Amino acid sequence: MLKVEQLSKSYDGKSIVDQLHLHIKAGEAYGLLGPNGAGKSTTIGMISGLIKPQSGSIMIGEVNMLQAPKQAQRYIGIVPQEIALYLKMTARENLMFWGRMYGLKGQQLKQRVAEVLQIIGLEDRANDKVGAYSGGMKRRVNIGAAILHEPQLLIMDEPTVGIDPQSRNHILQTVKQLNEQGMTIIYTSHYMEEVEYLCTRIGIIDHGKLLAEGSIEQLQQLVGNATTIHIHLEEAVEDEQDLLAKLVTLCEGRSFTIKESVITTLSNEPQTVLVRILPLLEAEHITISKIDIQKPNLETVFLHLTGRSLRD
Amino acid sequence: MRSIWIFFKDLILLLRDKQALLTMIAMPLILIGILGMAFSNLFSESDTTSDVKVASFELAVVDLDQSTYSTRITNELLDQYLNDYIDLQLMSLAEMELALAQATVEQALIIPAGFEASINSGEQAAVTLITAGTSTYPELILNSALLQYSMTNAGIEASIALLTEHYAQQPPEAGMMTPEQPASDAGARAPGGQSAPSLPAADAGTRAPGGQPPSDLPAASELQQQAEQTVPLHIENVRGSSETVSSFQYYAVAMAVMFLLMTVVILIGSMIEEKNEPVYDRQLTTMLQPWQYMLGKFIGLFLISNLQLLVIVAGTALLFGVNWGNSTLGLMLTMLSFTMSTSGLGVFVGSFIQKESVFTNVGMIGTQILAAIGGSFVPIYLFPEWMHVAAKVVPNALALQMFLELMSGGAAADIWQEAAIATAVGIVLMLLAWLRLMKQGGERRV
Repeated sequence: MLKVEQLSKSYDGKSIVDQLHLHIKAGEAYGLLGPNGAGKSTTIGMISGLIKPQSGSIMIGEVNMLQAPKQAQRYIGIVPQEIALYLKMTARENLMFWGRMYGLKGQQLKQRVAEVLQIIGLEDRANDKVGAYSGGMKRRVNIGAAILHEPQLLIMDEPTVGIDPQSRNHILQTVKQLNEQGMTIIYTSHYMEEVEYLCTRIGIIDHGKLLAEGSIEQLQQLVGNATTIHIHLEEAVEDEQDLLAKLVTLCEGRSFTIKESVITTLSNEPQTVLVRILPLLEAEHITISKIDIQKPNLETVFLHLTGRSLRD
Repeated sequence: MRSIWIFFKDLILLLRDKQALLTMIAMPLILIGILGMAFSNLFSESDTTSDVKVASFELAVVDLDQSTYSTRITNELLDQYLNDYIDLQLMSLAEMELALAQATVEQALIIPAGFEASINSGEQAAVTLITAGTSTYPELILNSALLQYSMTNAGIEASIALLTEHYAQQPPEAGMMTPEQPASDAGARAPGGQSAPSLPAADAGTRAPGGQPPSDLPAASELQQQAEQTVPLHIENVRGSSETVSSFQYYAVAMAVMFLLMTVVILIGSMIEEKNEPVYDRQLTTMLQPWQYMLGKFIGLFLISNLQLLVIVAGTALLFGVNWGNSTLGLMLTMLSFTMSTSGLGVFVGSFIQKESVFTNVGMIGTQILAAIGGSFVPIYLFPEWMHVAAKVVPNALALQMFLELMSGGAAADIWQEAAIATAVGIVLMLLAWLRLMKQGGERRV
């Protein structure tokens, strides 16, 4: 369905996406993970035809996005990270407008709008202005506007940011359903559990490069039995760099991060690491409030590959 | 077709924006009402176009030249041609001074000795208007009349300047000016502390009209010098001898063109704002082509501007009885060509500026400057000549003159050339905006 080859883009000499390869089969649900500034949005912008790449190729089905963008865009639907709707218009008016932009008209348009309102669960509030909606309802209309023309490829850029759990569940179920009906999905999110729930294959991107790709099981094998240790501190550390240097020396080169008063590291033997670290923290007069030890998951893989937490 | 849906979407959003609607429709009608009434004395009204009546005024005329030309001015021009506006009283200098001092007249016109000689020698002749009133109306009437006189009388090649001097009543301790007392001693000061000009000498009171001017009366050459230093008010009928334009008519047009510029600023501001929002990116990922987007915006600007003009035309006609002329075709041609040029200008500017806040600030200041140059605040008739030339390149000034042309009896044939220029400008600017958007597409920054 989507074939991206050697895709590159730089701004002001700084490389944002670097020789990216991405192959996604029809009907797949593909999770694209990466911290802020990893190049996810630029990649999505290029795939959707908004940003012109410096080099590389993008094929949507059999259509070359760079040569025939409007023809290729017929097959894709974009759910942007921001709410891309007219807030002074009702949900129905918004959907009618976006349907027309996708070339729908007449009875077909009315029918699709009614179907989409049902899919996103907003038939009862269809004639209310979007500005009066809750964050979750806006997000649902945001998705609705992207599926009106029944695209073969749906690209969703963090579609659940800042919404209540009920709306999140509704959105996840809707996306799962669309995927089960045959729609190909590219899904980016900071929430590991969403990606784990929806996606059959995951790509991890950082500094514009695809670092790893595979199913959740395949990716977890990359870290073996490594667990993630989070040590929550009572107060922020005064000199983080000094403490990090001491921790690395103590644990013979192991990688540590400190963010928002939480020290994070990976280890196959968490007890051994803790036995070494705790005396140091005591000597530095640093008070611990909580210690979490997590079994291997996507977060662990992400930390292992990028050295950063997913929400950095 | 997508362009039409872009327009409908913008129309829905506009109709739900109460503030914008107030600015576009209510404000012009309110301002037209206020300005039309406030400046009614600046315009000569015709009975059919306004219910604001202009009172006639008394004018004392002192003819010190007693020549053929001076007699023509007093008898033919002032007494016959302008008898609806002027109650003419011929008198001597002394009588004039007394009349001014006793406030039985507020305006006096002195035709100096040597007036005809100046005309015959091809030099610029000048007459002096002494005014004790505050209204500029007599000054405008006389200037207009003199201009017409010099243009329509064969053999007069020199222009006739009207020098206006303000008469101020002397303070009691200085004594009231009498025929025995030279006016130059009076040291009269005009309100505001400005020196009032000396009155012509008072001993002329014993002299019959037609005698030599008193010794301290400015000589013809002196008046000529003054005339050269003075920029005479340039009063120009829009169409020679055709109907005059009332204050309500003038300000209906002036406010309509100014608020139309503001509408362009509002609508293009929202376009720039939209271009910075995710909805624009989403539009670019649909089947919508950049040219369709630009055309949709252009159609929106064009139709909404015309709608606004129609409301103002109908509103002013109903509320203030404003006559927009007898040529419906001319009116339509003017409206369509003006809105075409401003819509083209709008999308052209909108395709270049990226920040809505910058555009709104610059746009509002620019609108006020264009409105000022274009005659929306002060009647364009009162502008000096160089400003007339400057105003020709301003689209709103062009539209204002086209509307006024129609109001003063013009037809479509009289304004088609200006309409063609405005339309061509609009089309060229729209094409440039299209090229700009084509170049811009596909190079957005995340």
